[in-house]
Amino acid sequence: MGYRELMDVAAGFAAFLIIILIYVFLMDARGRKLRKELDRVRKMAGETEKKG
Amino acid sequence: MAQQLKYGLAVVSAALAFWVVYLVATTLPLEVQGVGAYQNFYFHVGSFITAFSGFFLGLAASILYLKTGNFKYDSFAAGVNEIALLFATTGLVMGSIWARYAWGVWWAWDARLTSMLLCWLVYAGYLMLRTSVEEPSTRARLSAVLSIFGCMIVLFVYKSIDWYRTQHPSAVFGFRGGGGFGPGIMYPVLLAWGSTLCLGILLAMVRMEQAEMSREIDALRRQVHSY
Repeated sequence: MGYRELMDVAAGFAAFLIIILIYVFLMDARGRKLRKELDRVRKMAGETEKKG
Repeated sequence: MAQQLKYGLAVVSAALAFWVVYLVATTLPLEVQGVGAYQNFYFHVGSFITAFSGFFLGLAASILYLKTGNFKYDSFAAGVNEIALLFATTGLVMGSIWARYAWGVWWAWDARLTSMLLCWLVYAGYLMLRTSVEEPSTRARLSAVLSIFGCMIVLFVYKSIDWYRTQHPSAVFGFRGGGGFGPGIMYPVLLAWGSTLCLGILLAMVRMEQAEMSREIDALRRQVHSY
């Protein structure tokens, strides 16, 4: 494989991996936030039910 | 069970990706179909097939939502459309890198590339719409309509290389008539597609769980406010 082809392959795969990894990190952060919010809202709903 | 399936999909996806890289680096001819920088092509095509499959699944789920009003279809459409957009992004970026080596330019404003960019913008708008509308049923209905509209553009993207003279290479799939892959190309293309498809299914499963979670949060919030 020549230098030009190697650079093409490396650039393409690197771009693919970077985009996927950025998305996975963002998705992970959103998942944590949602779980935290769900716990908070569940607790709030439980307390409201007890009062009601 | 779902957790095991996710791990399985991750392992299969990674194994197939490494297999493609190995094939590309060691066994394939350098000058394939007259284009030297052809090696990027495998994940470019795989990404787009996965993206288009996702957009069509999103279309089916959106139609089902409009017909039944069941929010599970809305969550499904949101999940697959987002993952499809992710793979459309990787496909566009890899295609652009390929174009720089093959054509000498990063981008050409021909029918295929321009319509694909338009399609990408419509689905990016779909995600923005989902975050900007608070009321769940309005959000689901508007999103379903936009998803159906987006899929019409996907059809145009697919047929644009047949309808117009484009810088983009002509049809590569044999069943469309004309084109077709050169010898030894089909195998790594299918492997790359398998890899992106497994990764796409895995990410869509996680995304749909998140969509279900936010639906539960909405429902609980409404319950709290109703007291």
